[in-house]
Amino acid sequence: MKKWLLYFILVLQVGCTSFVDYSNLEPPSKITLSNWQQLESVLADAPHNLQQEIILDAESRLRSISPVNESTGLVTETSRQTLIDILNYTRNPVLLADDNFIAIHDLINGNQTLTAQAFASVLADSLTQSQFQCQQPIYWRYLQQRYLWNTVTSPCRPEVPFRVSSRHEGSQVLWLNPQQVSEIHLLFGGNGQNMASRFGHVALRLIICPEGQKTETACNLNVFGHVVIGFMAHIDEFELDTFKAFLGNYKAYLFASPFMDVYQNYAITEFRDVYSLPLKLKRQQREQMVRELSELHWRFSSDYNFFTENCASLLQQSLRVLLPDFNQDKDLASNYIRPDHFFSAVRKSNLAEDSKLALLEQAEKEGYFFSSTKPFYDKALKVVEKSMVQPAFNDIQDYLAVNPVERMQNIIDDEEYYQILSQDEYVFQAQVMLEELAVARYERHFLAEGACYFHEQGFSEGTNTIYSQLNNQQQQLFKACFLQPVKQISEPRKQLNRIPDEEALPKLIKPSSVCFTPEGRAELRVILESINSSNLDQWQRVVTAAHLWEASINNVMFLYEIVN
Amino acid sequence: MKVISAVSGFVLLLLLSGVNSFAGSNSLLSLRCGEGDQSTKIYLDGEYKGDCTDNLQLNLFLKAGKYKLRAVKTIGRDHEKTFEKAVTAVANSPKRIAITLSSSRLTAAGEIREAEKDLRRAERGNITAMRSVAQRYRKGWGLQKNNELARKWQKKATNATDIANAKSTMLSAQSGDLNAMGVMARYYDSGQGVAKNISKANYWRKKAKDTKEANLRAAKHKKEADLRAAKYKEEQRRLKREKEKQEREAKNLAYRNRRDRERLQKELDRLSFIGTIKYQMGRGDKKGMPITTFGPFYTVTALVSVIPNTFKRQQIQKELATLASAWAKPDSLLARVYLQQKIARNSSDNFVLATK
Repeated sequence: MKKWLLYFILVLQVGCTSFVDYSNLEPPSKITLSNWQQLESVLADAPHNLQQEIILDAESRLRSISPVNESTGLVTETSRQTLIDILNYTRNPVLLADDNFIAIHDLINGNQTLTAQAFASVLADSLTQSQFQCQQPIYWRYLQQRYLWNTVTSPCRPEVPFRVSSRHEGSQVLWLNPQQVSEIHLLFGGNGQNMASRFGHVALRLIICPEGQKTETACNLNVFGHVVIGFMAHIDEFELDTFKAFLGNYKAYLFASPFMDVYQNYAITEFRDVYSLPLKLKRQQREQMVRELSELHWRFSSDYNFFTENCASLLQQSLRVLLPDFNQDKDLASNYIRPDHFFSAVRKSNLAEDSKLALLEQAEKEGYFFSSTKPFYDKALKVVEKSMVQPAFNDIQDYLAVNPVERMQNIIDDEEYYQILSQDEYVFQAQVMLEELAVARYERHFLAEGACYFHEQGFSEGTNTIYSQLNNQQQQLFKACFLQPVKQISEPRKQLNRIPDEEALPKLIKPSSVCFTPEGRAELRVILESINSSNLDQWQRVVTAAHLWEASINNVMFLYEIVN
Repeated sequence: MKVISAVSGFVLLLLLSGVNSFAGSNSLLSLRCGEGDQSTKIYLDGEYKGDCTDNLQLNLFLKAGKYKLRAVKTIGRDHEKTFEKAVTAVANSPKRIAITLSSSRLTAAGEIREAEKDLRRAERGNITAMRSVAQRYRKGWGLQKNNELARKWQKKATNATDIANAKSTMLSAQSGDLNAMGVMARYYDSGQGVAKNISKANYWRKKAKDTKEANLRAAKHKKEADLRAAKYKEEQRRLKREKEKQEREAKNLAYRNRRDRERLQKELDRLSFIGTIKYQMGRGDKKGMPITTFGPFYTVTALVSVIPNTFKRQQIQKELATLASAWAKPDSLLARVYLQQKIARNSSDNFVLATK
């Protein structure tokens, strides 16, 4: 919509040669001789055509200067500022933003209005910053193609950073060498049951090879090292507010997560199929794409809207910029809102190796398809049910509904079944699977109860209530283990304007190591249980859920003790 | 006339001598030596005829008849390579013979020198030299044939061998070798290699018998000791298994303990939400499962999980991700990943979840 408005404005301009309304701009300032000399040295490495155009513009402003004593009245500018001055006021189409630039600007800056200064700023940066091509690879590729720019500057660091957020290990910076990425896949999480996931989810999956190994087998097997990059809404509170999501009141970022977190969430916790479709990319394209994804990951920030600016539409917009071939494909000419439709369209196109998903059985062997685990757990349940004397369940839901303490007691009381567990590995693993599923579900339940508590309480009031009831030491622990990490997640991300180097990386607050010690955990548990919350009902539910979760973990440990 | 006659006569003479040189010889023997066999001397019936020259060929003109051909190449002072062949020269028919020399052997003079060396060694007591001298006397190799001397030296060699054998056997017998003891007894009985001595023969027989009995007793003792050691090990293993079983039963007992069970149950009942949880986990309500904590939405609740984040939970988490696939779809990629994890776990000392 914003794009069409912009075009409309363009049409109103004289000769459609300018994308900028100059009527509101101040008259261009003069260029001093020293500025001019600085400019010459800056342009030394620029492509010839670009040099000439800028010099022409600059010369016209230099010649128009009346003889003025350069030591008075004029502020000395940096080369960058001089360039921006020239470029802001030029009417030379060679030095103005074109459609390709607009598309990139829209993507990187989250569909913000294109300003006159945007292109000028980018071009000036490219001429004055030695690390531009390393830190802004998307714009650099654009400038290279537009101006046939082949100048070799200082080599870039081979790795690019991603901030990978894991549910269990928090956020860590991964420095990834693009050469370590053997394939890039389009990942599709199949349709889920709730409204938000009804049409599935799409993202990109980086197949990262283990250090020192490049074989296809080794790379594919390194699933715990693969990373998923996808556009998601940043929920800055404890529960999703659907209304806010529809209105676009959440921010959207390009997140990076471990692939196995994504797989577990879809295939195990939510019983959804996961498809991983390899994109047809040459090595150079793939490596360039990884670098550009890093830039997008650190820069992109927009408003997430369930209907118009969601994972599918944003990913499609990105691929149009990152992969020039994307725009040539007729199957991908339409704009897709639904992730499942977008995935189907990419499958049909020439950009993907759809043959890998032709036979799902084979695809599962090779790591291109991961089926929902529901049939596995159903089968495990049948095996366990058949082996027990008096099973207290009929299906998975029944099983999970039984108190974990009671479940383990039933196992111990059933002597025959107890013997089977110690002798039959097939039955034993089926039993372990069910308890591990219970761990995953109880964990989710615990999170839900906790989220509900703070949502109903209001976050600040809830934590203030807890905080006020703790002694000094407990307050420190609660702050280190809970408040600070939560604050880091809930605050809006401070996006950067380039790929950061080590010094510029934002500091990630991790829970203190004391949070993981037995003493720390015991103390946190005491805090949880001693809270005299005004919302006692809900708080008790949180505590109960935590107990049940821990009891399930103990069940798994006890099962392993049976056989050892 | 006189000149013409003289010249004719000379020419005729020449022709005749040429004719005579072949007509008188009337057979050609062309000998070819092997590569590197220059200076091989050629003899016909013992008469030296020439050497194989640089072109390795020698042509001999002979009368028809039978000859003994011998070629000799001297190697060093005492050795030579030879070739011998009976040759029949046929009139007006050339014959080619390729001379293939034998391997190097002693010349006659060399044979004599070697014989003298052998004799000196034999006189010093060398048994091999004694046998060699005996053979030389027998065959006439380097020494004049003499059967009596041959027998004398053979006997000496035999005696010396017997004595040496007896000495060696004595050492073995003294070290405890049963067989050697028996042999010594026989030697003393027969006087072979030692002076005949019946009492010494009896001594060695008795010693052999006593040693054999002692060896049998020792073997029996060792067998009994090994048996005792095996029984002891088996007993230790049994005790260890017994102990492990008791420990397991003790753990089970603790869990079965009525008091613990009741206490746990009471604690959870006190929280009084089991019924609600049962409903929620079993049949679901709006809070039973959050709308999502992932998918297109990234919730803050993810961070709550860091509180009970333990080593055990992390290990379970990793296994959870792949166990189901490994169990139900052993051909899948995740099953292979699970296998890799299992191998890594089994080789790690610290891993808590030991596999079956």
